[in-house]
Amino acid sequence: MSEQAMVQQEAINPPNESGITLAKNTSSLLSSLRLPDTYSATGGITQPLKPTYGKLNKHRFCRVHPDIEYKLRCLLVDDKENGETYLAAPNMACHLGSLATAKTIRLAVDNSGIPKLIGEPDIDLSGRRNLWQSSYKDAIDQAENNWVRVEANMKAGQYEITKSSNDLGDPKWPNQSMEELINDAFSGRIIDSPDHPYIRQIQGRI
Amino acid sequence: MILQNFLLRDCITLDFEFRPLGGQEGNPPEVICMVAHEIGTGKYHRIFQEELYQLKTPPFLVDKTVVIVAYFASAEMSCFAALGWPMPENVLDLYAEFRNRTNGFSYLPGGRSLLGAMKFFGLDSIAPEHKEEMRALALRGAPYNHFERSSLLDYCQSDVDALLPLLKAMLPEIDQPRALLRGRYNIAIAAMETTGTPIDTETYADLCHFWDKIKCDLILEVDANYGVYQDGVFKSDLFEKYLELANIPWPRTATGKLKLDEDTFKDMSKAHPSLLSLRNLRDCLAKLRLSDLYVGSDGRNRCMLSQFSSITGRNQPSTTKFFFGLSKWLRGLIQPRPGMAIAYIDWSQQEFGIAAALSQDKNMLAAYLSGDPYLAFAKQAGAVPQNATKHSHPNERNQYKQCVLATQYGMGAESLAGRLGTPELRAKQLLDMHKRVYRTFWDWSDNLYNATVAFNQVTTLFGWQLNVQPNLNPRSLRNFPMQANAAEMLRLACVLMHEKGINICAPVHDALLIEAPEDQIDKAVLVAQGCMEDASAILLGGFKLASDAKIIRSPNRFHEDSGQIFWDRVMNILDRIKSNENLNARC
Repeated sequence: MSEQAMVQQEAINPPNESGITLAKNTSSLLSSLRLPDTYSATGGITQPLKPTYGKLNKHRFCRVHPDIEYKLRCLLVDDKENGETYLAAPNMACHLGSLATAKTIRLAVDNSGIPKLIGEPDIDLSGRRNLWQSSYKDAIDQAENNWVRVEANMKAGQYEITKSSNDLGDPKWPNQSMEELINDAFSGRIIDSPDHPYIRQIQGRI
Repeated sequence: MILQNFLLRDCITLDFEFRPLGGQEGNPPEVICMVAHEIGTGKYHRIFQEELYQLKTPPFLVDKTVVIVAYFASAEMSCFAALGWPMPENVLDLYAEFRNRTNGFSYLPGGRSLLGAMKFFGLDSIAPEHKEEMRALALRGAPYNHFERSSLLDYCQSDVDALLPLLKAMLPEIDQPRALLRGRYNIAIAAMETTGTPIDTETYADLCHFWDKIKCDLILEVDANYGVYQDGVFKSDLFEKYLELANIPWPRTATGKLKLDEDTFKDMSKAHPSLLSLRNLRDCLAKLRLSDLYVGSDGRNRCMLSQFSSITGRNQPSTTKFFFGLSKWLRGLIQPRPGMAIAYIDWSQQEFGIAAALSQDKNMLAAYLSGDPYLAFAKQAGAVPQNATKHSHPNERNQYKQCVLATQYGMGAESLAGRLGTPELRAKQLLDMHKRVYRTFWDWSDNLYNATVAFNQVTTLFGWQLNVQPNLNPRSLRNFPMQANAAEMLRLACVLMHEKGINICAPVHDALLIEAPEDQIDKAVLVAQGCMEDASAILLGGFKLASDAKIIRSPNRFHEDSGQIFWDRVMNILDRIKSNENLNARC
């Protein structure tokens, strides 16, 4: 019995003469069994990242959006004591005096796709040479077309600009409008009334 | 060929009792009895051994009008093969369907067996104690007296009778045409389990016989370069000293001890090839139980391939009984018989290709089609010039290769850094680069993840599904479409190859080992590669994956590159031991 079974065993895999035709038919049959690809079905929509306000990242290469829609001139107040930056409405200038600085808010994004709003300083019309401001403006200009990294050089009293030696591809700009981005970045930090706690504080009001 | 919509009355439930030929594990089955139940007519076939071997065909139809239903159908198909019967046109494997239906469930009240499936559906079944008793009787082998024959047939029938209520419970939810495709894979599995892998039995017997002596010599020889064993035992304090001297930073556990698990050794020996011999030594001392391997009396390794057993639907054969579950260096034992040849064929960068095709990431597709996706990735990232080759920039290519593999395994920066032997920051940079260059793929992956966790289910393109449980690792989930569709691709290729008469010895993850007479092996490889290409095109909507083939002709051995040095070392020790034994015998 055992030997007979073994002999029969060896005969189980004869090369099939008509195998090729058979497999051709099988191929088309198998193709018909394929289910539609649903892997791209939307299972959720990832909400865009909210930007923060600050300086260009000194560790990562960044780009700055060149379009006019992503530039907004405004007043900014830097509360160094509490580590906050406020956006002030133009009619608050008289209450804030020299504490408010006119800047152009720009949209930047680093090479990992993280958005940030930065303040571009105005040209100093007093004629004083401010290397910090001019080098920063220069960095922003360059970042409109190139990936740049900006780092303060305290000894030289200016920002040091490094242009990426590799093509880091196109920047991944957020989809939100500038208004939406500003609202997200300055949520709860907009000075639009003389009764704002910051104005009350600088005026010594309780 | 495959019934699109079959009914209960089209089905024949079936079960065989069998044992390995001569009672030796590793042999093909010796059929003891069979019971089949034609549901449409209600007719039973209860046939014992001698009569079964007299039949040239089954005593029931196996054409396209009927569906043969079994639980773990590859065993039944192996019995068909052992009897020399033609294979059925349609096979429904309720095991595969039960696995598919419950895949991902963290708890099944009775496990995955037939009894477990019955329990899952709240159906009555025979007592497990009785089952064990009958299995023992079947394994004992002939001769059987009248009472034993009757008991075995009754027992066999009890399983067949159990299949009917199970089929009734499962049928409404079964995805019929694709279920029959999974069933058809059982025929290819049966052929592979019958063919098996040819082993050099003489050397295998020597290794088994002298293994204890070999181990001692192996420790002395390998450890001469490390000095980490004391009285045959690995000492972590000595290993720590070695690492200090060799200036190799080593991962540690939360408590500060050296991590000594298998994966850490695997990763670290990739970053520091000087550790490879030590890793192989530890591996074979810890895991190698040569005598557990199933080798038949004809010198072929045959064991259950355990199809559909992993969560991705891949085969999951025993790592001790299946040859390819052992350490890679032992593959040197695989040797074609005189006049025969074997070929090891694997898809080139299969997972990368599947990811590219499914996500339609243009950069990824271009990288795959370049023939060397790792170098292409380095070029796309701007890390090497466009005219770079793997010879001009081997280190860069390796880093980008490890990064691609890391993303496929869901590896984090820490593990990748360990594997590369670089600071973690470099690993982070590489992983970031992957996300930047293959942005479309990552967007697709994010979307897939969101869709999967929204519906708590994900399915392959041929219907293998995963029920997502809350504790499932998100990285495994993201990798599921690549892994599980790769398993589908292998199944399709096996079905096609079997139908073209290719003799498959074994499936090995994303590769297949085939066998043919020496003068036909080149043609067989071409046919097999054509099937593998067709399988990829069927699965990926026309996108074809290439494959690489390595042909081994008798009397050469099958060596994996990384394993040959260790194999040679063991063989030298074996020769020395045998010479000493001979000398001693003469004295």
